[in-house]
Amino acid sequence: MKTARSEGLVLCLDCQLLVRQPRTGVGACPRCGSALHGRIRHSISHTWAFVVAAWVLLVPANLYPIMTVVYFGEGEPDTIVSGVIKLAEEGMIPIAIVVFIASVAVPMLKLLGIMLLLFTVHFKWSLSKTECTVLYRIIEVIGAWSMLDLFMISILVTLVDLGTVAQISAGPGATAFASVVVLTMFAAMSFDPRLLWDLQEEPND
Amino acid sequence: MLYGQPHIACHECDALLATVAVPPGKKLVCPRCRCTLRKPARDPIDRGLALSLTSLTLMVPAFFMPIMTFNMLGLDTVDTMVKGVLHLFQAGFWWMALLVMFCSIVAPMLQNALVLLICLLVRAGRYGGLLVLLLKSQSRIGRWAMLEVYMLSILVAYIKMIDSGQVHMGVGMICFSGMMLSTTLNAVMFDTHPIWEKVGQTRGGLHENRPL
Repeated sequence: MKTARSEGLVLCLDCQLLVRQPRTGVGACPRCGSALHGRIRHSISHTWAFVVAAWVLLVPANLYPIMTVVYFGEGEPDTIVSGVIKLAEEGMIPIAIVVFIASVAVPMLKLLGIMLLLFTVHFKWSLSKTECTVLYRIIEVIGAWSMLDLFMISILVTLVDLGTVAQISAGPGATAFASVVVLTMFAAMSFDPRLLWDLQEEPND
Repeated sequence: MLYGQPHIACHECDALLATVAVPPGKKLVCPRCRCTLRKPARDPIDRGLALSLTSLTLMVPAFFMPIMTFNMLGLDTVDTMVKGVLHLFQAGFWWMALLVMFCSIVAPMLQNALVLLICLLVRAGRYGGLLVLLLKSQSRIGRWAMLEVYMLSILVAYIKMIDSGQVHMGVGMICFSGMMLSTTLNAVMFDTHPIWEKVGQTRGGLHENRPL
């Protein structure tokens, strides 16, 4: 299959104009002025950096409490996981599942998925490129859903503010988790899915 | 075969394809990776104007009117989107507050405002540097607008609190739902390709459909 690269062309990622690859250095798109790169620059190393940072921050995000619910002076801080368990114990199974998917499953699976893509590019694994691209698209789409817990905290903190009667407050784990969400989004943005298809183009390379 | 024929490239797998005219309502899918490449809308500019104006109007009550009220032992509290952010700021969680503010308030607002300005500039026939800047910003802000997620958060918070006291949905919730729908539609339907084409033409024939 002919690709833009094999024909010496570069696609501008900002305005989608197809431009002839400049012979030397970095060209600018004649239509929108953005810098032209055949592939996203330093895609692999940047993505790795974001992934590693996200894994590191996932530790405090899960160890520190994200939310404290106090009724009549009683209540304990909850971490992400203990919050989900508490919801399930109170019989709110569907909500527990939603929160579990958004706060535990999505960030983990997202990071593992990106790592699988990175390893595929690095070790030239012969996985189906179509399936890898589907995985990449899923990772891009589900990223935002991890924000669910953070939005919920911002709503609950305001809604349940009754002084000594009942109060919900945020915890330091939420700050770490917010950073995890941002880092996984940056990781997905910096990965260039065309690197996967390049493996197919140069099988003997 | 290649030269002399107009081409486009897939941004996800780099496949080089001959340009075909895509009628509104149909979409062009990359034959190699199944990525949607073109999806022209009917009347993109008029729809963009209508949807961004709708969203921007609904945003004012959606941000400031009560989303939910909570009553326990005769005590009342009200939650609005702006209050939620301010509360986090006051509690010292500024990083989380900034992120919540950006994804639920700033990004959706910018997204709609940018589409509105782009449509107005296109209507006025001004395809200059300002339009280029707005188009680039618009394509980058979209992924940070997370109103659908916020919607689910409201529902989860509602169900969570329902046993602890009386929870009521407020006027803000109705405005928020409408605003979420029009913002999401606006983001999904707005097609910048024809506008870029026009920008290229006014800059001396730099359009996608030129032969290579």
